[in-house]
Amino acid sequence: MSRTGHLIRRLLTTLVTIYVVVTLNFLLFRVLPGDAVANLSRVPGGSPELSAALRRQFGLDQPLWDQYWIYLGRLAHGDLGVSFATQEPVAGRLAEAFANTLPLITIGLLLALALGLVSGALAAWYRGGWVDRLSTNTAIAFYSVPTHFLGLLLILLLGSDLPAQGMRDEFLVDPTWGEQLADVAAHMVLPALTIALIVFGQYTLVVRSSMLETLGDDHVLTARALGAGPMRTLARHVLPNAMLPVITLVALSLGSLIGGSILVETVFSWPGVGRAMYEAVVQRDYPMLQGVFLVLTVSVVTLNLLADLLYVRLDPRVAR
Amino acid sequence: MKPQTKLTALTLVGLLAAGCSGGSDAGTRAAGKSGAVLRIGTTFTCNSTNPFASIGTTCAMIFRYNYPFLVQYTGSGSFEGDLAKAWTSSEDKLTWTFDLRPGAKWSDGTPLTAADVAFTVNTIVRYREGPTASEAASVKNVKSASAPTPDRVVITYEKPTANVLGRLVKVPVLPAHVWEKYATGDGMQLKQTPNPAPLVAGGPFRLSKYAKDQIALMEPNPNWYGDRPKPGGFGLQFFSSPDAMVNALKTGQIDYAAPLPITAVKPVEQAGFTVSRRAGFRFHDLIINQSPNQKAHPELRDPKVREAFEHAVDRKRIIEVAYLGYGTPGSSIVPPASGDWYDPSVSPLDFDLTRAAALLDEAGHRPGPDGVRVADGKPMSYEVIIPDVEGGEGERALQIVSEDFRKIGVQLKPRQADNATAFDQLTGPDKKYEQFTLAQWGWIAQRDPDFLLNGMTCGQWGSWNDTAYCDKDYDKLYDQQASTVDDAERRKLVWRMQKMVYEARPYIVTHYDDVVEGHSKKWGGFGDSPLGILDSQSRYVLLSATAAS
Repeated sequence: MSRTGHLIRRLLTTLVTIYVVVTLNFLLFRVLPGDAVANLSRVPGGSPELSAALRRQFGLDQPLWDQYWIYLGRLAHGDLGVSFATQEPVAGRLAEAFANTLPLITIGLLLALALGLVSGALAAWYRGGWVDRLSTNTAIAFYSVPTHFLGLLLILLLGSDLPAQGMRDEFLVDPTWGEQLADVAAHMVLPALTIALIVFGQYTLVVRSSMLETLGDDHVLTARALGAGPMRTLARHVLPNAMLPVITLVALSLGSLIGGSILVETVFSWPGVGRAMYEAVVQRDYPMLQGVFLVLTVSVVTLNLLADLLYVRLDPRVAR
Repeated sequence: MKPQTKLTALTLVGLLAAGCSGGSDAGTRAAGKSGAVLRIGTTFTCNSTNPFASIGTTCAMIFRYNYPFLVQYTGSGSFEGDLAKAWTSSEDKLTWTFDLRPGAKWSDGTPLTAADVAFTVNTIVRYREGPTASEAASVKNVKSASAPTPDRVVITYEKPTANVLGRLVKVPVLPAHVWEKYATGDGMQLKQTPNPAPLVAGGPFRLSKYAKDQIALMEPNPNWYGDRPKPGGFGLQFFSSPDAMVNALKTGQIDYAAPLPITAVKPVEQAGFTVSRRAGFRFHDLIINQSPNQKAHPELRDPKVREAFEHAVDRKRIIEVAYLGYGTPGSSIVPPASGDWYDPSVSPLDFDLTRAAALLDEAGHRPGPDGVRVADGKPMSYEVIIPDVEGGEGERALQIVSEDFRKIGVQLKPRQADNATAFDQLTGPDKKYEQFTLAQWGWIAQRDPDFLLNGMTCGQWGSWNDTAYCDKDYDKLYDQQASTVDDAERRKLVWRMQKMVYEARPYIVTHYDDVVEGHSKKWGGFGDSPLGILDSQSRYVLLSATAAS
């Protein structure tokens, strides 16, 4: 198949996936036990009239089929609806949450990548020795630790020196631009470190196995025979060839990390997508949940598509 | 590596390094610069700054300080004037006249007059079936409000109504010049406007900054008509993790933590902080389904069985083991913190497993071969719905109850759910309460008992009634107390109703929680309230707080 054919096929698959998820999102939250209106109307002074008014206001008194068409129609116009809980447009709240999550995830991922490359390369180079065992076992140990447990552990260990909640010190008075930046960076250390420690394990293992394959290749043996030192061999001849699966893994894990940020953001009160999702689940805020899941789906599917296309670019055999 | 890539990497490393070195400085700097701003951390968030869209007590607490109210609760639970300096009621109790403080102004300089009060009350009345429904109970039976002069409001009622002041104490007076443009047509804009900060304020503080799930910052209102508040402002920082909140308190990033997890009390005290503890409004209970539609276990409607269950609840052990001693044994659905509304003669039955077993024997429910008693051919084995709001302490309490129930031949199996799901499971399809048998949950009462008493009426099936209790005599008493304006007469009715509910045992009230909060010793002078610092019906706790020099 040509590259164009491959691209069209992948794009079509992506669009169908998104449509299916959009429909599942709509149905899933409505079949879950727990009614949005019952939840919202259980407030001091609440009454059956309040429940009825809320049901009318949110369009939940309409047949499910009608609700579905209204939902699709709005979505086609780029309207994600109005949050049940805040009465504000979902799109604005989501944009804000994503703007807070993306830097956190990106820095966590870059840290994880750096850690994974170093520990994976060391494990492969000294394969079978204590460095390999230490590196591999550490990676597996961190990979297996539950995210919220590691987050709480870091708060206990480092919480007296580093802020462990929120994105900034909300009580800073008239901070300069530099102070604001330093403050946000300080707040980012613990959650970003949690993400990095949880994720780097899988990078270590993939880098190690990929490098072990490459280390045995003829061109590496030739380079060493020609007198290339260990660093040069690693940097010029091994790593570039071993990076292919790592690139795929990074693209895949970025998508899942945005969705998986719920635990990190809840532990550290980080006002991002994860926390928005948590609050929306608790409050049965259907439009917010639909919005979050739609954007997460689009992110994961798009990143998968990009990884796929990048892979074709790096290794044209894939498109054949 | 290309130069540009190198630069990006260096910037990122530098940013993180700056963060590592700047962490503790940032906190110190904030405390130093913010001066007398009280920094409160809480795990109870506020969803909206629009009073018609907001849910929960934290939002109501913010409105309490931002908006004026006709009257306020004092620390002892009586009423004092706020915007109103005096009030009278007609002999037939249908007309209430409030004289306001003259010359009051909103924070933007607009005069704050009786017209604002009349607008607020009339707007809530006009749209009470729709967008203002969440405030409808506060204007129950109100016909209309008028402002014959800028300093006088007259509210007329359709029939005599109990607790008029206790209802109006919840109505924030809104600035008509801001809100009247939304009170048109179907009024939906009243609910949909975001009402963003900074708000126009008439209370002691003004909401100057709000970010959902992050912060609500209150600064002094220069046009406030009352005595100058002692704090120079306060902020609520919202935490999703209680552990992070405790850490923030211990590291000086906040001054006050509310509520303080009871497991953190000792470490916080040892770290040199003050922990306050007072009797609160929250209680926990075991719910026994009373619905005639529940067919699987009809024995649960037998008063003897419910009495046996109460004898098998070890309240003392629940408080000591699960709640580490921070509570008092419970009996009535009106907690002792409600003052005179609480009937002290409603006392719990003794913990007595022998008596419990004997009662079940008398009811004819003998143990089967596996030790579990059998009622109407079915083992007395019940799922107990427990919502996540009950927390770890609630789960431990249920374990204690289950262990004791097992000793009398009754098997309990916990069924955990989040709050929304749990409520759905209680009411079930078509709100008939057909399926559930037992549950463990709780309530946070208010100063006036009307709200909780109302929850036990037949009309609240599918809404606030979570036991399916329905007794026409009780409903008559409820209506009677709701229109009894004489407090002493009303108290008699309220006491009778408490006793009725206690003896019917749709709830076995296990205990009343203490309100536990922690704060820095740099702050003191806090008032006392059964709702703690997040009191949404009184400004008593916070206005007197002072920072040490």
